[in-house]
Parts: sequence; structure tokens; C-alpha cells
Amino acid sequence: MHIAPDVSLYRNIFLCLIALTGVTVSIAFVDLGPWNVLVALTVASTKALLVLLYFMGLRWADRLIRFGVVSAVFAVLILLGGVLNDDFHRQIRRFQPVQEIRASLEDLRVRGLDGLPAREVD
Amino acid sequence: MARAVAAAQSQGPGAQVRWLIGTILLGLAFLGIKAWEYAGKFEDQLVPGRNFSVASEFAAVEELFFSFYFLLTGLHAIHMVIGIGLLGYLAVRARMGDYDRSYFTPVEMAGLYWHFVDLVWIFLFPMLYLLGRH
Repeated sequence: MHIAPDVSLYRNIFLCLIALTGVTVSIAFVDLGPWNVLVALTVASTKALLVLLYFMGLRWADRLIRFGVVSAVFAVLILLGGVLNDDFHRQIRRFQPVQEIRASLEDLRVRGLDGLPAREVD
Repeated sequence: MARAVAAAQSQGPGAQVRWLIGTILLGLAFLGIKAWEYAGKFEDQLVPGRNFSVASEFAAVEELFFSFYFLLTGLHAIHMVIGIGLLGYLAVRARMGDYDRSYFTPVEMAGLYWHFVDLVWIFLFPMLYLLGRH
């Protein structure tokens, strides 16, 4: 149970969050290539940290609760790592014209995953 | 919401109800914007399914994007409807003077829930609305 701090702190954090939203939106109009994703997620993480620390009171929470939150973030990173690992090693690339995807799938269907002819399915 | 939790600990029912109602109104404003957005998507045939229609060779990819868009924003909206219900209940209890320095756990718990939903949107907003620009 946290003790409510001076309410002006909440106003300052709120203003920071609004300012950071402005930053993300304006940076989205600049083309940084793949860096756009990194910048957007870094700003989002900063905002998330502010919400966690101040609005959710983690700043005043005891160490067991903080440990719980850190563990949860770690678990999310493991899951994200799995997703990204899958995404980076795809044969079919994103943003491929649908005809090419269909062709690859048709090719896969004809040759089969193991290169052997497809079996007849009733 | 944070101010409502603070008010539950240090101020009377009047301030508590005001901050809770303020949070509810902002939540409803968000849902209103989403309703307007969804209506536009239906209008433009961007809802995945039988009537999805985009004149582009990347139509399949766009349909996939809109599937994620509706799943993520829809789930977020459901969370918010639940949250607004919780806050409405708290506002009634707060008005009856049930919360003060010695007992404000329900307000604090609802605050944690509301800010968790907030955290989700902090990540969803740039990913769904901003990163697709390039």
C-alpha cells in the first residue's frame, strides 16, 4: 500500500507522458528506416516505466513486488525473443506481392516440405 | 485515476467521485473515438472477411494487418469497458463515503488495473498507428 505523494508529481508525470506522445508522433513523420521501430519502442518503454513507477506506485513498493514485475518483464522478453527469432528466419518475406506468396505455397504443395511429391489426400 | 487513488487516501467523497468520473469520461471518449474509427473501417471495406476490399497487390498483407488491428483494439476496448464498469461501481461506493485513509484497497486495485490497460495502449498506439507510415 503506497502513501500518496504530493499530487503535483502526478501532474508532472502526466505532462511528461503527453510530451513523449508528441515525440513519438512527430518522429513517426521522419523516415529512419528500421530505426523507426526502435525509437518508437524506446519512447513507449520510457512511458511505460513512468506509468509503472509513479501511477502504479512501483517507486514506493517493496522489493518483493519489484522483483515480481522484473520477472514478468523478463518472461515477456523471452516470448518476444521467440517471435522475433521466427520472424527473422522466415522463407516467405513480408510485403511480398500476394501472387508470389501463392506461387511459393503452390511450389511447397507440389514439392512437399521434404522435396518428395505430395501425397494424395482424400 | 492516480489522482482518484490519492483522493481515496487523503480527500473526501466529493474529490474521489470527481476524479473517478473524470477517468470514466476520458475512457468513454476513447471508446467513442474507437467507435468512430471502426465505422470508418466498415465504410471503407477494411474489415477482414468476405467484404474486405483493397485495390493493391498487397491486399492479403493488409487484410492480415487489419485482423491484428481489430483483435488488438477490440481486446483493449473490452478491457476498457470492464474498467469503466469497475470505476462506476467505485464512484457509487465512494459517494457513500466507503473509502478513506484506513480503507482504500478497491480504489488502489482498480487503479492498478486501469494503468495496466494504459500500459498496453502505450505500446499498441505506436505499433498500430505510427510504424506503418514507412
